[in-house]
Amino acid sequence: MSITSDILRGHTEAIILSHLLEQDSYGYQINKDILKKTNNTYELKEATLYSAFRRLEQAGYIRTYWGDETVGARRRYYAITDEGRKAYQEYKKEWQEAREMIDQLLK
Amino acid sequence: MKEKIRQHFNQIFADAPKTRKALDLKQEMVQNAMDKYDDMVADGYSEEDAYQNVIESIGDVSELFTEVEDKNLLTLPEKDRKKKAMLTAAAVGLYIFAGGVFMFFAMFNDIFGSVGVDFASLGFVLAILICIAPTIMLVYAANMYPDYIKKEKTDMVEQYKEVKHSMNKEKAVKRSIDTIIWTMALILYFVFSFATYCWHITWVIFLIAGCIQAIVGLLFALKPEEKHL
Repeated sequence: MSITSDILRGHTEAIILSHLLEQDSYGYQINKDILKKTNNTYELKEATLYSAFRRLEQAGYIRTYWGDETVGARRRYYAITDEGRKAYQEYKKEWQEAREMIDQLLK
Repeated sequence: MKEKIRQHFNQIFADAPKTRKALDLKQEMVQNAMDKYDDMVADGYSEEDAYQNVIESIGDVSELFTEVEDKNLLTLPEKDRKKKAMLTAAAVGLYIFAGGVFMFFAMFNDIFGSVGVDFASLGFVLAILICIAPTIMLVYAANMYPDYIKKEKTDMVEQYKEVKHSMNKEKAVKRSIDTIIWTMALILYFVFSFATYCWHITWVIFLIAGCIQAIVGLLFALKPEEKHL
């Protein structure tokens, strides 16, 4: 499990981008989705998640806006930018290459 | 219990810089923690368990405040890569242009040799002046690689990427130093030669340049040893 979570943590940014491709979302929602997609086995630490948000934002891959909830505190939403889409496709390609390579090496 | 969560965040953010960004981040994290807490209680967890879980899932926040690096994501952005390539291409073009200018003026010398103006020297000085721009451009391009900084160096992929990145950077720096050495050698060769007319001896400058390049190469070869684990 430690290898799994290390690798997953290394791809935090790409995982977030992948989620935002489907729809705009906010921190907790993304983490919930990750938990669901991994059958309740993996969840990002909040600190990891939010520092990844900051990095993506600074790189111009995502943008953020405050939601207009009428009840309770406002949520901060994230949306992927065109640059983010490009970076994601690139990253996905690189990951596929890396995965094939590792599969070859760890037969 | 919700007040306890709020207090916990107050404590965490006590050391954070008092900026708009930090306040936003705090509000965002508190809100998401509250959502999570509500969900867990709704799912039948006890308030105490939900609280513990929420607090544990925060993790190490210190990296959030120190996180100022903005260029460590994925790889060197496409934009920078293109810019670098353009700079290098333009620099090479300028070098060739400088050579052309020199040849052009030298040709004048052959044709109008009797006028008494040393066109070759004039062309040479012009060529050298033109060479300044591409040299600066090359040095700038070599330093455009952003530093690869990653907080967690736990997994192999990151370590590999970092080593590879620093090697790339070193190569780029070394290449630009080499360029400068040889450009300088060429400049000095002509300057000394024209000044002294000792053409039979000034070629030694190229030998010296070769030695300097070898020394620089050695320095680079010695340095990485500390870096490799």
